Amino acid sequence: MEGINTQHYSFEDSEARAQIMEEIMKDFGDDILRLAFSYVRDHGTAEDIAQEVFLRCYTKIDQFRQESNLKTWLYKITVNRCKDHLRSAYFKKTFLTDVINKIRYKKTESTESISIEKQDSERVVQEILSLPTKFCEVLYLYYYEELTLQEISDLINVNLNTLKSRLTRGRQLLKHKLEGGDFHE
Amino acid sequence: MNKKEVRQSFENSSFEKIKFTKRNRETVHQLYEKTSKQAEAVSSRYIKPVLSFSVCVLLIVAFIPLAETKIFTDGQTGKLMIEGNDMRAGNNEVTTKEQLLERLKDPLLFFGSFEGKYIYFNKNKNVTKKITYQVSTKSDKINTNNNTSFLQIIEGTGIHEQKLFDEVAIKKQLANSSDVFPMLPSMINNKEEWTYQGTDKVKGEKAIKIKSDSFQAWFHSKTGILLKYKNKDGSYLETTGLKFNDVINREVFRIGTIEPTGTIHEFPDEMVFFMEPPRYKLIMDMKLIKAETHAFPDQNQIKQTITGKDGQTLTYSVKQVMEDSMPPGDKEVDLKDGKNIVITKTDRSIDLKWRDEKNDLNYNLIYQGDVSQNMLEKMLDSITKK
Repeated sequence: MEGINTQHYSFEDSEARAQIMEEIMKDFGDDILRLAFSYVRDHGTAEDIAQEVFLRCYTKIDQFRQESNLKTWLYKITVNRCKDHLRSAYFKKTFLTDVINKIRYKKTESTESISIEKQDSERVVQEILSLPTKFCEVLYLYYYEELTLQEISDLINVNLNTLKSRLTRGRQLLKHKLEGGDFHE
Repeated sequence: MNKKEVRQSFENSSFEKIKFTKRNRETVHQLYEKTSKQAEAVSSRYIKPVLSFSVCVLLIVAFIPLAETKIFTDGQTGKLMIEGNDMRAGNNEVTTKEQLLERLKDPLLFFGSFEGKYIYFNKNKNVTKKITYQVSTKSDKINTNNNTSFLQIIEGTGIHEQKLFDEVAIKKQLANSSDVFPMLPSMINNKEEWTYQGTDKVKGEKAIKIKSDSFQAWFHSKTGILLKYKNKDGSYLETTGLKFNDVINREVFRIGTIEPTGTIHEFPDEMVFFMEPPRYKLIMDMKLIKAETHAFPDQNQIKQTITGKDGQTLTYSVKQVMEDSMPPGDKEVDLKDGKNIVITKTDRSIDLKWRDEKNDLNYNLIYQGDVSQNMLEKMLDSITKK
């Protein structure tokens, strides 16, 4: 994983800290927001989580371990926060309705002006995001974020062999959802 | 499909449009600033524990409302948790139906302000709403009237309504209007239909339960705030967070501020005609102190709330405006009556600024959301008429 290392930064005053955070948010904001969205599948909630993550980064950045990679650290906080949210009773009650609404919205949104290719891409993404979290996260991190299995294993605290089987199973599920399409590594 | 194709799918899909915007970044900066200040306040509180304790004792004796209860949802367990001490309320828990009714009619008895979040699912309309609301009776430096109270409701991410009241009116508003809790007026008006069921627990908090043939509801035993509601038809309301007597969160609630992403435009204390409301609702000749406009892209409409000098409010919908949106940018417009208006259009708002030389007044009007050319012309026309 590439990313900014905080050893390049100094935190002498609040203005400098704000500037550094602005830079970090510009660099990683989209990635963190998308990662959160891949878990919670709700834009508003993902925004809240991404903001929380950066707020935490704001307060902890000077304690950040120099040898670690900032992006890895941000990803780890995001993943943990998203999993907290998915475990919450609030999420369990609202998720189903939200998903149903989104599916309805997506269907009505589709117009002739959207190309077939675009529709196919949307569908692949929708299908990946609709997989159970344990498969979705692996596919997302492996295919979209292009992390290695070892990096994913470190990030989500899952044994490498378990991860491999989840990746395989995730691919099978996706293939099944895409109705018989080929799916190769 | 291979790895590259999957990644391309993401890049070609609307997923790629998910962006952490400048506004998100600003929110993080503001939140950090706020939490830093709060942390300083907390540390100074611990430095002088004896003094704090003495003050608390004195306040209890004096029976002054000092509820500093904060309830929020724990992310992992979903349990409502309390911070601080709600001393006065602690001795005044509701234990009878009569007490509950009194509390519902005067929910501000035990605190000067509260802020809450809940999720409400209406089965009949098949609609789920995430509402954040804030009520305060405390005077606010940016409100023109020191006795003004306010109520704000944020639906999803867009501001739904902002209202100003006097202190008496806001209590009536809370009890008799469906603005905050849609089902509450019906409960109060039809008090014979439900029965008091005693105490219960909601997410670990002591609650009083009422029950009728069609619904069950749970209220916070100390404050009377509705925590949970279940209707037989499947509708429900569930509180996800509450704060009492907390500092007004300016990141979420903006009253009267003029900010790039704000939604308020202020008028001085004079007669202003702003976007003629539907005639059937013109029930009062108001001296406006505030007019607010909020765009709801999902509903394809704009709503306006105008507020009179005496606290009257009027909310109405402006016709559909979402087509033919203006491109972002600045431009100046000269109106027929000689006013020169600077228009700034951004992705999220349109900002009009002009000066009334005659009366030595500056005006700033901000619309949040997309605005059509047609709508802009109407806005300018309304300013000319003034």
